[in-house]
Amino acid sequence: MSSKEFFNTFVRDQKAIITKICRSYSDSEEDFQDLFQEVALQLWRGYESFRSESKVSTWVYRVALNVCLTHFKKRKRKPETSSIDNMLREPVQEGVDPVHEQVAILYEGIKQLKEIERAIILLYLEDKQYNEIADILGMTRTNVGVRINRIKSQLKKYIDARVGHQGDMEDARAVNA
Amino acid sequence: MQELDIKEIWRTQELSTPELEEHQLERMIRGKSQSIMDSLKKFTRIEHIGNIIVSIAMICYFLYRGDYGFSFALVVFLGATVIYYKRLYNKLYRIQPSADVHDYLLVVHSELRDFVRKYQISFSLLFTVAFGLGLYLGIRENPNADRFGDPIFYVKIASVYIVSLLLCFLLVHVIYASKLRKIKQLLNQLDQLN
Repeated sequence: MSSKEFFNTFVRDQKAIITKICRSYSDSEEDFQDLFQEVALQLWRGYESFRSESKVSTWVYRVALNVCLTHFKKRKRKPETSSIDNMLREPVQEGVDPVHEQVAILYEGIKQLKEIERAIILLYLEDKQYNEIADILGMTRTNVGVRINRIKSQLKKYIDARVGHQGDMEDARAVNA
Repeated sequence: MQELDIKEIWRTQELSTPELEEHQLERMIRGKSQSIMDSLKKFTRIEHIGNIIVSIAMICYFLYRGDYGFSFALVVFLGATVIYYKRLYNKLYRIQPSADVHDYLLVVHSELRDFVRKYQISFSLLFTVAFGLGLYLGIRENPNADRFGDPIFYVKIASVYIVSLLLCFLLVHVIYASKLRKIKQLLNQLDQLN
């Protein structure tokens, strides 16, 4: 198997991680595509020189987060947005998959956070240990623990408010019907 | 929504990630990078090639005119820039996004800041040398021209020099100031959390 074939398999294995990080840092489908491509490109460039000094997942998270955090949009933001964001802006329609809706609200909550807080909660949601989160971000383990609790309650507050607001809208729609 | 629910919801989305075809991946890794560090590398390369071409052209011009002193000075200048750019390349290529986020942001910020400073210093020096040299050659070619005795001429030259320099400074500021600010903000966020 050539190194390119190895890499293709590797990216397919890591696709879910890369997708979630890029989605959390993009405002549109175009941004998402740009970020995904940049992450894949940087992983490819570093793939040959990766010497297993850290875990593969740590390396992938570091590259993906560093790319997303230092990405500067070149093109003007278009009114067209990702399906997730569209779903958030549109009133909730009957028949919309509730799982997708919950994911959309969770992403909306994550995007309200500051960029670094976003990185911390993403790693927490990915079930990373505090040590690994600290290693990826260059923080101390103790601070990671303290911050995760604060960010979680901040996120919970946002989601509760959002779900409550949606519930009110559904009630109003039911009354109108 | 409980803590466990957040993680549960997070896990459900893996099912909906689209398949990645081989040709799509091939296109991605052959595509152009948009990263800030790659832009710096690209600009440095263009700048280096530009310097070499202009220096060689000027060396040829001065040799043709029999100005061996200038030619020699330019050969020394060219040698110094080649060494300088070699060191700069090595430094830029050592920066990898596989470092931890704090270290990566720190090094990107420092490189970007140095890059802006280098441009400001280079513009100041190059413009001064270019205007001075232009004036010197002009006077040497045509020492009796009326304009060289007219103070207005020097005021005009100085105005063009200052405006050109300010425009270049403004351009560098417009391109890089917001990027530097964003990276600094990220570093501040990390420092506040630490």
